[in-house]
Amino acid sequence: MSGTRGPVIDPHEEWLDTAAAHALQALDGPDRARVDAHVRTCPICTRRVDEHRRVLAVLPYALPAEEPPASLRASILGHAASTARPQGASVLRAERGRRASAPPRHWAVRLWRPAAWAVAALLIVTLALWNVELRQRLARTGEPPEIGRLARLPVGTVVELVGTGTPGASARLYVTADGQRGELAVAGLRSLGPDRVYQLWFARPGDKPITGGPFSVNAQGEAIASVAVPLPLSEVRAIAITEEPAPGVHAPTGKHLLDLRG
Amino acid sequence: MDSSSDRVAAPASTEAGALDRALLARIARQDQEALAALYDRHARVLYSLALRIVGDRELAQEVLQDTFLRCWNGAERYDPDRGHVMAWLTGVTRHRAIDLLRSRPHQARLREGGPLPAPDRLAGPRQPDAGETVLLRRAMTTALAALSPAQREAIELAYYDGLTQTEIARRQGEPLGTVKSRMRSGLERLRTALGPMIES
Repeated sequence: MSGTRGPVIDPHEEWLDTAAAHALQALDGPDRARVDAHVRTCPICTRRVDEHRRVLAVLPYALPAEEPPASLRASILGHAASTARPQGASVLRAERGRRASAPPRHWAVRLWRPAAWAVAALLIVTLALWNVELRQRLARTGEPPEIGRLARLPVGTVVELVGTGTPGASARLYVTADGQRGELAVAGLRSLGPDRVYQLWFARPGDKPITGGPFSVNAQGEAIASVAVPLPLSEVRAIAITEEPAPGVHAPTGKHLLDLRG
Repeated sequence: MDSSSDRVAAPASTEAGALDRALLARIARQDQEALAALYDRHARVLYSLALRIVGDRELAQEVLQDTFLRCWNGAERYDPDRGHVMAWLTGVTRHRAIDLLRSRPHQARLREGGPLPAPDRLAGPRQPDAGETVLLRRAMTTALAALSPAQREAIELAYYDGLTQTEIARRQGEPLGTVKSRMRSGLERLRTALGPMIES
């Protein structure tokens, strides 16, 4: 071959760079309208912007958790109660009255509810397809161990536990696709001394509980622990967490602190 | 141990998303208990976001109140095809907070204001996070730590401080193209790290 050529640059790369700034709403005025118009008509950029937005929606989870004052909750709920719109047939009457006598509300009521069932059905089918695709994708890719472990959690099955013996505590057990291992995310338990541990239990109806392993929580009462799932989930009818002597026991002795959500 | 019925559920993120959508549907029917439940699920993260942006607890409370009252008055506007309920709430909170950040009275107030009041004096009793929140916090913190400092700064300047890419380029002393690439590669790395946790 004769002559030289520069590197081939995909013209879409520039748009994809811009898609990130678009999702972050960091475009300068003159660029905004141009990029808006492109994204609206380009399925690749639409999808990429949507992906970026999903990431950004959970970005605040990395912030130090700040507690709003308790009075704010009461204030918001009180205001909501005082402005509640009437429901049923009276909603339509009230809405007609409002349209006739007042300027249009910024938050106009849409009569979309009849379509909600269709949307819900479509969503269920979409999620099922997503899960299959997800498992295939995860099988093909390899992430760093810790991030990969976290990222894989939702692929299997999730079981929710609630604080029966410790009000306010909650936990989720993410079971891997093979059903033999799990990641337990717990919050709201008190921190224990070195001679005590929390322990996870599984049981079939009428059988003795089998442990999934002990774990400890940090100073904030939280834990993410790798646990065993010693029984097929299809046969398990009870899952619980108890407090036990370290390093753990063969049969539960403490009261149930969390149980499978009823 | 007590026996109970089958509770093998859907994938985690799907389940949390479905719960939020169900709550929002009830809020559209003016169900006050549903509003309280949605508040209890998300108020802490949204308040943390508002406070990070406006830097003033009183104003952050205004932002949070505005977010939930908009939700109360306009739950019908939520379009499930456009993302998770949490993404919608985060978007409303961020827009309101950045609007406030850019307003002149707020800037004057920040110039005049003293130190923030101590959190423990104003905050309500700390409610435990749900398991899913613990998980997301851990995953996002881990994912952010894996970014380069410049990638992370570019994303945070845009997201929390509301700067444009040109302003970020000026702040970082880099060409605009470099900043664009940083924001893109940073978001792509976060997405890869978080994976299916954010897919629903």
